[in-house]
Amino acid sequence: MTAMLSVRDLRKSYGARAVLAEVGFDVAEGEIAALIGANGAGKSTLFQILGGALAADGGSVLLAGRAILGLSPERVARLGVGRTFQTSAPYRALGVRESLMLIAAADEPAWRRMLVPLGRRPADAADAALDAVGLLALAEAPAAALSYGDAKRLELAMALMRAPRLLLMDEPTAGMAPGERARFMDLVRERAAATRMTVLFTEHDMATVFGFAERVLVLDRGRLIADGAPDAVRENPEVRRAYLGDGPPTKAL
Amino acid sequence: MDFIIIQALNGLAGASSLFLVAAGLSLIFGVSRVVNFAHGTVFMVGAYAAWTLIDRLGVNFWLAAPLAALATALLGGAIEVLILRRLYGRHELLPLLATFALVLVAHDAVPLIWGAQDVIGPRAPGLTGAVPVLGRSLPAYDLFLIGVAPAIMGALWLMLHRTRFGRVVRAATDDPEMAAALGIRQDRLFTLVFMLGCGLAGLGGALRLPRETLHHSLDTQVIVSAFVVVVIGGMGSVGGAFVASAIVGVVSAFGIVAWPQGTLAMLFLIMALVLVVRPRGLFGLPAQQETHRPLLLPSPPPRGYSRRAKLAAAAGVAALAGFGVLASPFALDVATQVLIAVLFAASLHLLIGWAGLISFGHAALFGLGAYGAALLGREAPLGVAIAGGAALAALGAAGFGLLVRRMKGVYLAMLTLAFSQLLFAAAFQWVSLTGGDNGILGLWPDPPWDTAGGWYALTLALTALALFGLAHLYRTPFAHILRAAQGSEARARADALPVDSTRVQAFAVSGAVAGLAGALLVFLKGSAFPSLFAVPQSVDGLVMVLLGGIAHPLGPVAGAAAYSLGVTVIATLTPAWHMIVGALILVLTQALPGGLLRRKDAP
Repeated sequence: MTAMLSVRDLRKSYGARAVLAEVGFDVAEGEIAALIGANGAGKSTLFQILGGALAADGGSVLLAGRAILGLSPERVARLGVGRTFQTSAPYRALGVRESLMLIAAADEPAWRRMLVPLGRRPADAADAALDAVGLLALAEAPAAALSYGDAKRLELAMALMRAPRLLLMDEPTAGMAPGERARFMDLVRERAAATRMTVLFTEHDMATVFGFAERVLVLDRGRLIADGAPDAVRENPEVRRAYLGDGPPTKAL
Repeated sequence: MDFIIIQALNGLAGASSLFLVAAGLSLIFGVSRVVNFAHGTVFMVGAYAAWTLIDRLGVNFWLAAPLAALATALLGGAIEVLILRRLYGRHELLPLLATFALVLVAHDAVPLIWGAQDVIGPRAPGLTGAVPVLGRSLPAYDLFLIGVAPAIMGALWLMLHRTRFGRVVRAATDDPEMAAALGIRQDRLFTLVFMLGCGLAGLGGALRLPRETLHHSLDTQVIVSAFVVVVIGGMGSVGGAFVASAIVGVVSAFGIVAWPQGTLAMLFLIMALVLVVRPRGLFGLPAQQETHRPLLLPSPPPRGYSRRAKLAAAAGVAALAGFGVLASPFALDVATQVLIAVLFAASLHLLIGWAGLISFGHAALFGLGAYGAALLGREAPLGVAIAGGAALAALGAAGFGLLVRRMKGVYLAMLTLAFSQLLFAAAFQWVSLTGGDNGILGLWPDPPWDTAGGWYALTLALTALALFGLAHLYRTPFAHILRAAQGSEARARADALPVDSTRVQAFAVSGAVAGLAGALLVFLKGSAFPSLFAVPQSVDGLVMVLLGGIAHPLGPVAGAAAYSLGVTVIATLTPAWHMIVGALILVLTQALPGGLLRRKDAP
């Protein structure tokens, strides 16, 4: 099986402080992998680099064999990477359905984007995407009026609108109640299985990580210190010392 | 070599008072994110206050200068408490509008209080002589001024780093929200910093008094240089203002000798180059959360405009056409100017309201359209001249947009200002093409457009066409992308929305509409002058857009109509119309901070 995402020797520092030091890993096609680490371990920096929002100092990132490091966020998105952000930011000035219809118009030639009003376009694809995340009933609502959980679902629908091959989610369930977390991640798993989409997510909630990830990567101060099946990572002494707290397994695990 | 050193010292002496103004401007911006357009006015008032103390009350210069600084600090405190305090947390341009209103008030109030004549400042007692330097004599006062900037810089550094107040100021500059969260009393801090900044400007004005003549248009001259200094140095950085004022002072001193009219343009070129290499100036704050609070425009109704809206628009155009048949030539001339103002404001609103891109130099596009049409109008038929003017402005705007597509906020605003100043200088300097100061004259349209009614009809038709085009565009993904990127840029890019290219297209469309407005004005007036590119033209656009309401799609129409009609009417009643208009704008910013037209759900 070829790797959907292949990261090699990725480096990034701010001044003298190395945020990422020779990070390398693969994520196989269709795999759901979690990236964990304490605050400041470099997770968000890594995600920003993978998404094209931040330049790395060196290394390589391949998406299904194609180099994507250094490309703009728009190019990365066009090549099949979807993203959700830690603080979800749907388009506050737009409606729920409009947001998805807008994303569907992204690849059109400029003249067509300036000629055909958004309201005169077929909404089928947008409605299907909304249905998939259970938001169809709110299609007419302004995005700014959504509840926190619904905004997260809308953002997921937006990220899935381009049918990405790889979905990057930065703390997808932050701020959710435990039951809501599980429902949201079930939804992600279902969508991933339906389209053979690869998922890489960061997360602080250990129940979510060990409940949904097929693989766990652990970052500690910019270095990858563990990479493997959830059970193996959970028992890894270095991980316990660096991140999970050296002691008997806690309830969260 | 000697000449170079003498001229450099000369420049540093001039830089001193510039540093005081710029340091105050930068401190205020750093803490409260307010761009104080009236800072040059405060500087000028400080100079006049010192002159009154010395010349009328017989106070010694060395006492008068600190007293003038104190007076301007108190004036600043009053401005902050009475005017600005209610505007925080709203659109970032509102304080700019309010402080611009103060500039308008001062424009008439200062000659009223201190007379319209230039004032020669008294010399500084004890420093009236000259000191021989390299075989030439340099005024002793200039040498004193050269020492003032580092001394004040040192005092400010000590205050910022060694006192509790200074630490609070620095914390608030680095992260206003964090400082607020830590329980720093913002209202008191903002007032004190505004007073400090204004006191520094007043001191700068007073210290300049013995060196240069005092006149009542000093304010705009100083504020433009101070903007350049603050942007080169980095907004919020006092040290940056220090270094940049020295650069600007020295460059100006040489520029005055080598190329007097081009000096300002040269400074703006330096500023633009610095921003291209270091987008936040030499010592600007590192990239941080933008304190950008967009007032988001609502989406148009998804199913299109209602029948009622369409009928109202058609009725409006019909009524205006009927007016064209009935009204007197003078009324038609005024109405044509109002329509042109509406076009200009609508083109600026596309950038500010739709896209959240602030332009302080929109006159650049207006002037490009005007000069394009004027140059073509001498040879080509009218239609070609108008279309060519609009096309030239669209091309210029697109080229500029391509250069600045990744910039935002105040820095983008300053680059637009630089762009317009460069074109202003070009219109002045390129005499063989533009006629320089004399402009291009005798541009009258052929029949049937050569009457007031004819030109009104053509202007109305083209304005209606452009506005309907914009109303259509407002419903397309083009506008939605601008809106989406205004609030959630990272999200928009991650969704592969072409944010950068759409912004460049927005500049082009805005340029076409502004250029059309400029072209129409040329044939109304029969002439084109460099002032079409000047700062007041840009500011008029900002005032109209803010007055009408940024968060309403029809805001620029209402704002332009109200402002241009209001100015015309008030100007026929009193020569001191600047003051009346300024006072009215002040009242409006307090009573209707969202503008004349507001969304029902606007904050």
